[in-house]
Amino acid sequence: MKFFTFAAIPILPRASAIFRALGFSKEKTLIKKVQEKDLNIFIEEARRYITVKAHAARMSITNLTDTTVSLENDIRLESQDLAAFLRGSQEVLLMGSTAGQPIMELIEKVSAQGDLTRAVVYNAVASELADEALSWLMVYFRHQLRRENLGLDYRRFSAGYGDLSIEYQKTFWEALKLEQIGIRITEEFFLLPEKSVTALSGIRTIGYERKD
Amino acid sequence: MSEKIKKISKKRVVFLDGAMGTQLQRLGMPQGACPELWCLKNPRILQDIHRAYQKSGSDIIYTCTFGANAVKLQQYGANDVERINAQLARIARKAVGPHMLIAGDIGPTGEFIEPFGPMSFEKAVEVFKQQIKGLLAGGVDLLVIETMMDIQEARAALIAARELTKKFVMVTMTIEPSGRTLNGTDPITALITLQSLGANAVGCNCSAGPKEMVKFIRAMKPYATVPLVAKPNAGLPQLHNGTTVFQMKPAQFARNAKALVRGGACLIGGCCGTTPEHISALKASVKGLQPFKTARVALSAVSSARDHVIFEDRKKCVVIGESINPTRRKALQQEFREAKTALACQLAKEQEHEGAVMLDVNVGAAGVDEEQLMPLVVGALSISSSLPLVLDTSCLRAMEKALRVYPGRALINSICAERSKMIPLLKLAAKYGAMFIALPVGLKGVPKNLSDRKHAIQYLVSNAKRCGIAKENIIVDGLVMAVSSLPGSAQDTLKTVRWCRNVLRCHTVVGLSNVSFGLPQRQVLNGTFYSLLRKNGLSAVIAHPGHLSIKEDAYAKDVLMDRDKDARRFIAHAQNAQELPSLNPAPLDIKEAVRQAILDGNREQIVSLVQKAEAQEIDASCLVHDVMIPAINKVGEFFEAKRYFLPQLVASAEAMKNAFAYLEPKLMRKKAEGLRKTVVILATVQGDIHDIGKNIVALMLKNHGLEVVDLGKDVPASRIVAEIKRHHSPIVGLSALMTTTMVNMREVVDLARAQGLRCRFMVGGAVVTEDYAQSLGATFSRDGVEAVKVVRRLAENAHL
Repeated sequence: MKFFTFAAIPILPRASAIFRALGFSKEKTLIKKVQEKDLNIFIEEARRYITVKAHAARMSITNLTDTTVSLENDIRLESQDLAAFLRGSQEVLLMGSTAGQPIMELIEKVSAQGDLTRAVVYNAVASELADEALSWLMVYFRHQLRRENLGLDYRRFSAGYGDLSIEYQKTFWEALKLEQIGIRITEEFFLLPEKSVTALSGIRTIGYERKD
Repeated sequence: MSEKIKKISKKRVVFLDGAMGTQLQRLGMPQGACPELWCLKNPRILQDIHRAYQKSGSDIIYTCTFGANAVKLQQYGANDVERINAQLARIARKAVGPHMLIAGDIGPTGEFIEPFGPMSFEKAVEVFKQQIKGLLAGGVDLLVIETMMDIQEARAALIAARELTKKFVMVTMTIEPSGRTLNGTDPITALITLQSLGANAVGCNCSAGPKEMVKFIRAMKPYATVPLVAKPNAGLPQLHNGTTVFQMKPAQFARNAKALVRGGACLIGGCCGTTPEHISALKASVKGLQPFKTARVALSAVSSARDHVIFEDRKKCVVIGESINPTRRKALQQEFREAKTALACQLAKEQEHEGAVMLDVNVGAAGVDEEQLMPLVVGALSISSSLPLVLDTSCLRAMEKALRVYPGRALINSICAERSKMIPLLKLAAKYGAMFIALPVGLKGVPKNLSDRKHAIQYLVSNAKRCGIAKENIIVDGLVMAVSSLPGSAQDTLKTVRWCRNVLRCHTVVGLSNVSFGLPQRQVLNGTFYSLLRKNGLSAVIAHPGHLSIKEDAYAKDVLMDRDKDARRFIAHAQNAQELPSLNPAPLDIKEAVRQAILDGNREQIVSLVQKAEAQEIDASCLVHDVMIPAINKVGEFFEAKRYFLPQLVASAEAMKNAFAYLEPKLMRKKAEGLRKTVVILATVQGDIHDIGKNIVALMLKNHGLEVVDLGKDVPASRIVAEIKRHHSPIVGLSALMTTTMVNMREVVDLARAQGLRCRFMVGGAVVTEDYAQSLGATFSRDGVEAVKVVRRLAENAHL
């Protein structure tokens, strides 16, 4: 297993993605300039409270059946959907990221002050950045893997998707040592701070047309 | 050799080679193999590739050492970094002969460097030095640092190179289609940082193909003091029948070559997926085209890892926030003594919000080890803020450590004309490519007049030139003194700024607030002085951005121009000064204004509008029923039709709430459509900590005249049931966001039923579905707008 730590992933919130997540429709939604300006200010305010941290691990697939995925370190994942997702992969890239505690405290604070508009936007920014961090990690690893003649799937899979039980959240949390970046896990398999996510993607060999 | 490359690049386009990795894979390198170790075992294949590029017309070929650093080689069990690099350089030389230029290729370590990752900056420098020593021993003519996505790693490699050799060094970054590196550095920022740090050529490689790269090169061109490099890949690899293929053929690849050269590239080649055929095509397509000649020798600009400030481009004065300074800030002093950085980061955020475009960083306080703390604070600020930093310390060692780890081009604050202090600092500025603030004191102490100031400035500029620092890299301090003690000094500052701009042609900065020391109404004096300085051509100001105003005041102006002896008239005026009331014309139709405020979600002004309506004797009840409720209903309609999205809905609801809060005591306590006494219990079920959606529902229900008891989040079933009994609530809203907690809704329903309660349940949340709601015997609600309708419907037939 190769382990990677990212102390501060340098990503910025994309207003368009945040607006979309909040229900903005390019064709239908009408927004005044002054409203848009306010929302952009809220996005910027939230950004200043977020430092996205992440851990990632490259793990070999030791066995893959129709219903089970076995990884190194004796990790066994029972899931037909995941097994199908990883068909053809030799390794997985396991990732976990968090938008951190300060933004959650800020959301609590503004909610308590009755400023729900800010809370809603801050919440969306934190979600977007925690998720965007995984996209960032995938681009980063794709660059690294290309040199090893390996490719990374463009899709990712998380605990709770399809038939992969949410209980595996704890397996991923442990494997990624997420406690080291301040992520806790509850008995209901919530990651805390709330805006924390895990996912995995498949690594597979890419073939080249050979001259020999 | 550096001169040779510079000479060629002035006359014609210089051709680099194409891909190595993909060529090796095509020629049989097995999957998972270490290219460097495989090439050492298969030198003939490597030589064939080098020779093929030589034949294709490359002027410079890269050694096959992209991953030959200690971190990468260790993954394959190899430790002898210097030997491996030297041998691979010698293989290249043997292949192409003594006259071909060979570039020692240096790629990323694959690890992130502080402040962005766990590897220490000095460790990174050491890793690169080890590799470069090997390359130099192997006889390379120049070095190329390439495929960098982290500007800090590029800096570490470049510093390593510069500490070992004077050879020509190229640095190329990989820019994503978004126009930034994966770590968020844009091409201009990268250029500013790298060319000032001593790169002889800067550019992009790999990225997303030649067409995309034209944009990045064009963006850099106006600011380049060094030749620009473009080495695009043959597009991104596409999976085709289980095989990854770079689909861009040589002719297609070469089609953008002219645009690259016209865009400013002087050195061009190919990256992943390109072949000798691609390079031949490239060469043929730009035949006869003259490369861009860099006209600049220097650029007045600073940068952080993610942003930059170009002084000449700015029409407005650059505001440098002064708050990160422990002088007179006890909390910051305490934090710095404990080597903490949170408050400094907070101050950075506040100043950015207030309009600062750069941040001055001073950590000097009693009991603080500046040498340890300065790099720590600089690292923390580099993560939390994208503003370029001004390093403000008189400790030489602290300055060097900070300059070394700062992931951009810094501004040194400051270098005075006192020789023993000036020379070491000028050497640091030259080594790290920093700009600096020239403080015209020290030659004869504090200058007594304008002539002394000019003399000290010229002395600083000429010494900087001797250290290889161009005038463009200097910002002269206008030296602001307190007018209360030195009445003519403000005029001297104005004249200094004017002289620097018109005669010396140099940028200027002032620390503004000193001018008003000891006088009342300091902000008025500061604002007036700021205005005068700007008119005289001031480039930058160090100040608290929240306190900056540029309004001129005639009394203040007289003090600053030494026309008010002992500032007597100004002080008298200050004592009588009264704030003028602001004029805010009332809207013509106040009802329409209230309606519009709800539609616009104008939370700040709605109460004052309601007060105006009240002043016009509009009945509160009439305002609520005829104006506000129809308005919020309209908002709901807009939301359902997607004409509004969530923040607009919530802002409108909050505007309504603010108006209600004001009007409630004045309203007759009538039942609103028979619902006023309906108490709705809301809770996020046990185990779940998500409550924003539930809070929106609460807000919407309250706005429609319902009484809401919000129990919060993570609420046990027993408490919810107890509260239902206590309030005799006919309707209960339950929320859950996760499948693991959604099941706790059933526990609440079952417990309520077991205790004989006949209340109606409404459920919602990201994972809750209509089917699940039905399985509970509950009603599903998608969002806050629907919740109002559901509650109204349920209330009609609710029984406890």
